[in-house]
Amino acid sequence: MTNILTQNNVTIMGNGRPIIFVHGFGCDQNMWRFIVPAFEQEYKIILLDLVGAGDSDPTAYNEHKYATLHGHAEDIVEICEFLNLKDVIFVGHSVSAMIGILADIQNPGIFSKLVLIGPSPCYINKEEYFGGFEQEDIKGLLEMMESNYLGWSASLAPGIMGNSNQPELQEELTQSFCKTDATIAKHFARVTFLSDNRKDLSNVYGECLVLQCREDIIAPEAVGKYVHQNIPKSQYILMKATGHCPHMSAPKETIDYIQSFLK
Amino acid sequence: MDYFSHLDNIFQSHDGWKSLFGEVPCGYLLTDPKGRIHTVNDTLLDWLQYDRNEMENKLHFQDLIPLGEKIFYESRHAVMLKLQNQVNELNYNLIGNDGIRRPMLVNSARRLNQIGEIIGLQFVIFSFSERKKYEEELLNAKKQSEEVAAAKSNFLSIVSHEVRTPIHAILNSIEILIQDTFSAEQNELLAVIHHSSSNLIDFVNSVLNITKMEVGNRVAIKEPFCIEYLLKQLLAIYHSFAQKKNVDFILNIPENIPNVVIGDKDSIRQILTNLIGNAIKFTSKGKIELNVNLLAISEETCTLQFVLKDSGIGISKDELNNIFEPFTQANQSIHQQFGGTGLGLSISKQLLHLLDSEMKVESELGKGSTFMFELIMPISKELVRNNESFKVSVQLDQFRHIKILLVDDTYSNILIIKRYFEMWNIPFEHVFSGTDAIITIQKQNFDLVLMDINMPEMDGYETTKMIRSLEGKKFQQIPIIALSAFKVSEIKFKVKRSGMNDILHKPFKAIQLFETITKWTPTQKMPDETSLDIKKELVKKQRYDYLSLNKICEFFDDDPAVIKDYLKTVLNELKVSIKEFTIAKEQYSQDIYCSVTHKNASNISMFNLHILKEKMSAGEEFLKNGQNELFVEQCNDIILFFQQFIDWIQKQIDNGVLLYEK
Repeated sequence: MTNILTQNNVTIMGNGRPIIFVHGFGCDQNMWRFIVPAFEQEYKIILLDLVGAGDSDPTAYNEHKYATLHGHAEDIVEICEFLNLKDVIFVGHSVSAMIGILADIQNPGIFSKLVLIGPSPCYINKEEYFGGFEQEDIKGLLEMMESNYLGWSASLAPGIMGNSNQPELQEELTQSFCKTDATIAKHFARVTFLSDNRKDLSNVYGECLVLQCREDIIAPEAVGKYVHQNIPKSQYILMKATGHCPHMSAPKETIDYIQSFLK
Repeated sequence: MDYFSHLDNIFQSHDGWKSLFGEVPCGYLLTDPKGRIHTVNDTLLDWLQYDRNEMENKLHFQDLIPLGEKIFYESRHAVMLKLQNQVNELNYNLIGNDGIRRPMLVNSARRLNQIGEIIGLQFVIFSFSERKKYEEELLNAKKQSEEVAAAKSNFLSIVSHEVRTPIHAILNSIEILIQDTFSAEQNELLAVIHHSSSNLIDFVNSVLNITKMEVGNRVAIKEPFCIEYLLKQLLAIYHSFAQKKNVDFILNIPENIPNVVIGDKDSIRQILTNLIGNAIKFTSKGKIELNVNLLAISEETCTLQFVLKDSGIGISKDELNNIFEPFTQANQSIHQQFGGTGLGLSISKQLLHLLDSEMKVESELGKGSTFMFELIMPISKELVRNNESFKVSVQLDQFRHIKILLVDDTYSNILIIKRYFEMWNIPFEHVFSGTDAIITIQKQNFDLVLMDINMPEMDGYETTKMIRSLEGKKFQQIPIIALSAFKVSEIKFKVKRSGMNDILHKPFKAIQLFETITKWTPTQKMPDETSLDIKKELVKKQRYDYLSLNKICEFFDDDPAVIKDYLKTVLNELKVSIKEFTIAKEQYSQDIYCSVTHKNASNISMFNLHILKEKMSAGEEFLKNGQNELFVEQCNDIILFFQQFIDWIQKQIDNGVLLYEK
């Protein structure tokens, strides 16, 4: 029998107030490995892979359901209901910050607090809105992903590139992290980077913390501020960390800000 | 002279390493952990047309790739590097100083110091423009040919779909017409129209089927069904056709055939329908036999052999090779003599392929043909409800108290639905557009909206969103049902998100329209003087209407065993709840009352028991306000509800009616 827990490869550990971590585009729950240990003592930790990523059930991927981010938001709500979680803290990175927001709007009160790491409601520049990208850039990403995931070059690569010193180890490594199916990854990229959820921000019910990195080209500072200004109850922190993944590059700083927000 | 010692010197000297580093035919970059370039080799400088001092200490690796690809670098490449220390063979387009993008293959690794801290990143870069060009061209060619094939199938599929809608309108109209009295001659004409449009729809469905299979849309469905029932249904339908030609149609089923098997019922029905239809068509005397043999059976699976034997015209050896090709009949004269499309066998063959089986045929010209196939199917332990035909019988004035708003822009649809509304005495209003719907719904009170999805200008989704956002509770509460010819699975998420409550799939039968209306509209209120018994009876009926296993089936993935277990648990919980409600009622205990209502929250959501929820909160209010008499009455009402709820669940368990119609 497949249920929502196997569908999303849900991992549960620890005891206490529930805190649910949701990874962003490009990876899976492995992303949180530097953050999770700091919460294990006091919280019940829920990790998951979005459908289409990591070890989620590939047969659960439905183009129609996941044609918008709402499909993933519905899954998060269902997981919380299935596990009967109350007073939940939601931590979402990148696109999952938006997925959390949509789940919160769909079910006001489901999350008491939301931590949004590098959120962006709209990646494409619009009239009087700076998202950071043009439609053309996203097209470039999709084309590049296609050549990477189709593995044309990779399968020819050993000929030109020589084998790595430990091919077996390499094989295992590429398989254990951030697994994703080519077609699904491209579809998810399209849905993610072409979505526009700006209108939803004002309907967020829970209390939010926006964690913004410096020099983040995916979610620039202007976007983080925009999110903060449009969510009714929110705090904004500009971190010292640079890039798009502070939970990987600056786990300590990320943990500190999350913990003081939860106090 | 010892050349080797000189060579050793060169190799180990700084010069030797430098020339190796500079001249190897691959690019090399060493950066700090954030990607800022520390060292670059000559090869890469040369490829990208940069001077060393323009790159080192100035640019980042990320500056060399286009904006879109930076997303990939930041969100996937950098993350994987951190997790596994090296990532190889990624495609990037590196941008040169001249602005030109060059496809490159990149190997990357993290360089760590002795205590495992990251000190930098290393990129080894291979240029492969040529190869990339070939790849791209190949890929494009492949894509193009696939697209052309898909476009053809799609076109056929769209055309067939479009044709189907008007034919259904014709069929529906005839069905309505037939209910009136006509002269014998008129009836005959009606029968001709009915028969012809039925044939036409079969043809169009066949075309749709074959294009669907070509596009690869069709997957084998696994659902429990009663095989014997299916076969007997076929016998009932085709027996009379055969008899009209003075041909016997005999069905032989082994006694020990499993009751319920798991498989693709619709495909099997379609294969058998095609075969039986052909057999009747090509047989003018003698008999047609459908023999089902049980070749093997275990606890879990059975192997069934289906053999259809006729005494018809048969097929010659030469012709046998072609009969499974689409649009091919064994020979031209067959089409002239018997008609048909030549699609039936081709579809059957593809369907069997889908079911991991194949068709075998033996035939001799003039002596008849035998078609055979075998299916291995799991045996299900559950009982299945067979779809009995349901006659729509509407009591006069059953729907007098409700009013429906129909929003649709297609005349044929409107005519048919209107006709049903008139037959069932349902008051309604009709508008042609979303804009008119929004105006009308604010002027009058409606109990239900039937909303076409496909409308020009404002579609059904938009219209629903607008209605839901109007000021006033009733606009959030009024049930809105989507009318659509799209596959339910394709639109159900969008329908739900736009705020609609249900989907009525076009073309629908009268019974489906009737059931949808009954499900979503309140039952008529009885006048006060009605005796209590009748009232109770009515209340009971009303409540049963709301009970549904849909959500549970969906939740538990239609797994009958799990659903049954779940229902048993609920049953026990409900029995306890009744006791607790009785205690709460007798002691006016708020604690017990609240705890038992709370316990039932998940049942309410699983069974969609919104009335129960209202009743329970009403009871809580009465208790808080000290309205004890009302509270007791409310408790009695709730207990009665629970008893009926228990009966209903018990019935579901006993009957094994655990499958719902999607």
